[in-house]
Amino acid sequence: MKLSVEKSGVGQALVRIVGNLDMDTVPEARKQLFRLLGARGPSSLEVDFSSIASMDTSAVAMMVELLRILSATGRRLRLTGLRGDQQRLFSLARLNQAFGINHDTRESS
Amino acid sequence: MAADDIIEIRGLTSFYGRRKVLHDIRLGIPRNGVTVIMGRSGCGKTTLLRHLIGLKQTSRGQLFVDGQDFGAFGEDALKRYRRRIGVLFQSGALFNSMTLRENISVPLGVHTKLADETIRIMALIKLHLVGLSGFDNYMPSQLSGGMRKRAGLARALAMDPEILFVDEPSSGLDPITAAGLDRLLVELKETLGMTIIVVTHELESAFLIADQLAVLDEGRVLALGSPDEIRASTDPKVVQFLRREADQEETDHSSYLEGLLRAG
Repeated sequence: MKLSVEKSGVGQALVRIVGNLDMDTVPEARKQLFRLLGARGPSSLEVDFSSIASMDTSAVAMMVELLRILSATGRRLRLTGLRGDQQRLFSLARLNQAFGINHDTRESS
Repeated sequence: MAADDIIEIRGLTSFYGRRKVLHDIRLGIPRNGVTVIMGRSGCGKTTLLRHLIGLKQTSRGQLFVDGQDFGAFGEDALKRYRRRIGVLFQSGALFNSMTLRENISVPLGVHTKLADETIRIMALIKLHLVGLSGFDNYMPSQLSGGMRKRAGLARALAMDPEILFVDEPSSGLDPITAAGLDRLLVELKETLGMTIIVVTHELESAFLIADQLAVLDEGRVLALGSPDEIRASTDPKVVQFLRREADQEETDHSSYLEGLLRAG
């Protein structure tokens, strides 16, 4: 798993994650993301999922942590580039609305 | 073995003491599908499940997981396999001294380096999945049998298993909760690509969720196929099972009486 941070505007950060985001890699990704959100962190964070090969519910849980931290301080989190299977995982956890993901779980893959 | 079988059972014969309970079982478990093993009580279906999850040693016959001989698994391979599977036992098998959230967190704490907060959220997600939101701080003893069963499923799902084994999912559940559980199993297959092996004698549930059905009778695979193929079976025992017909009276009354009257 590789995580890179780009500034996409004033106070905005774009995080790209490449590889697997699962129980083995989430601890490291979490460490890096929390460091980014620390003092003088961005007011808006976008996480690009398009290069995540596979993910599990630990990735969803980590996104919930990010959402909580950011929204508690009036900042924004946006998840982009989600494939159908990734969207379905959020839907399965009944968290698609919390992240603004519109996906019908009855859709086939 | 079909190319997409995740597990292959080849000639499995099993005993309890000298009593043979499984006879030369041959069965492939397709990846990303729901296989339902059904049959009457005592037909050997739970014993078969115990072999598949490594709780009973295979003395005759072989099991293959991803083409690898399960019997030859060393400690590391077994550990990896256990991490890939989730098991819902009939009883739910929860730790009574722990809350539901703690029960679900145990495997995550043991097998991963996830932060406590990530684990806490994962546990809450799994409880929500099985319809137990808000019960995270309950002890198993504070729940009904059906709720314990659902909590057991949440724990079985803790590690996002690739293969989920479920023993009698509907037992002790009201029809509405049972239907919800069936729907969840199908959703897990479709969403996570899980391979699910269900042992049950609940016909309605079996036909609803199965991609493949295996009917066991007296330790033998009586019929194997899709739900439509099983429905079309003309095997008298399969027909009897599907029609829920009672056995013909076969008791030998004279030996029965003899046994009763024999001096202890």
